[in-house]
Amino acid sequence: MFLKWLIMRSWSLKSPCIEILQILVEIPLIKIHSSVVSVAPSFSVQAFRLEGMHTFLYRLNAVLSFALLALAAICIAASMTDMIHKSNPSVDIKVLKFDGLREIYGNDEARVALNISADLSSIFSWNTKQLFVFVAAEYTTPKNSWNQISLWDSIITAKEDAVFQALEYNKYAFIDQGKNFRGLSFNLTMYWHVMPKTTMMYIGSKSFTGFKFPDNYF
Amino acid sequence: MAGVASRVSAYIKETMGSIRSIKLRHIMNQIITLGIIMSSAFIIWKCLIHYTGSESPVVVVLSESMEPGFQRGDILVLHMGSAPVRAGEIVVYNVDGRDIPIVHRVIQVHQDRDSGEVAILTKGDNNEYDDRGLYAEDQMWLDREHIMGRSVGFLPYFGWATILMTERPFLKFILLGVLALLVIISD
Repeated sequence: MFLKWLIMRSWSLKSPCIEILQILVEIPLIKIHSSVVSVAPSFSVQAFRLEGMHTFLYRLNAVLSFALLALAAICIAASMTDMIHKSNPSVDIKVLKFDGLREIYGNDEARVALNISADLSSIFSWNTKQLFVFVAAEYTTPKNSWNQISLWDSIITAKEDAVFQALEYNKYAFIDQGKNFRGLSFNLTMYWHVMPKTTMMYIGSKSFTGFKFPDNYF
Repeated sequence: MAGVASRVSAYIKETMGSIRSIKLRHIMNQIITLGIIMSSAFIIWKCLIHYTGSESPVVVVLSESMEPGFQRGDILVLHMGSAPVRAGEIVVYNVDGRDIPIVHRVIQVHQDRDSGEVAILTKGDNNEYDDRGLYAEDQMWLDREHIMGRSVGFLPYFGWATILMTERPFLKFILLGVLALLVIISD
């Protein structure tokens, strides 16, 4: 009987608080009603009971809801600490040279060498899983009020890797929607998309202005 | 003799009546409880759709194309918003002729001056090339209509339950069976 009780208990032992409360209530009752009944059998009856307030379902439900509530609270707390987290990233982007400007299928395409250096280590907080860093060229044309072309990107998963310098040609095709590149001025913006371990994501950025395409195809 | 028979039949009728009333009340109670659970779930879902402006406010990541940022089984929370889509955002989009929506990052945006319409190009962080290969034939850009939502936050691992239940249907039946059993044996 006791073994059965133990098995049942270990199976349904989800909310010790309720169990302890129940024991506290049960023991005096046993003492009052019968002096011969030992403690263990009364528990076994208790464990097999399937109706009433203290069924397995009720306990499971209580434990699961409490666990979800606690998890939600922790997630919100993590987001809150991210909001008050202060950072001062330093970024520098330079255009080293243009290595081609041509027309391709009715659109302009440029090839450009960039010098990107940054220290983004202060952005990392305890809830940061990774930074997705990318540099986008941004410009306006007579047809489009806004153009954004990602030229280079990198995934940074550790704070130690957040200080970097990259001397690279554009990783992705630098192609306009139309033929507007010649002599056009554009901005280069570094964006860092902060991907958390949980909850809110956010984007930070720093812009650099005053870049200009060559005046002719070459 | 007749008196005994009538007394027995009255007793049976009474017992049956009490059993029936208990059962009926019990069944009705359970139906109402089930109805409340289902309708509140439906209400929460519809409210989420309304507030986020996205037809599916919560999606589960299925592929590895956004690793290590998003892993298989992560849950994404979407929000549509009225602001135009910008590079760097992670959007969920539908392609004509494809059943399953895709979660990828926006890498190019061209916004038309007159119409305000955006042309969007996406790419998975973990993929070598942009998504033109995934789009419909001869499709160069995504429009606003293709975008189902823009991700604002995520919860890790919680989507595994959904993945397991869609890919292993027998698990769904086991779960439903256990739940039904618990409902029957509990009061």
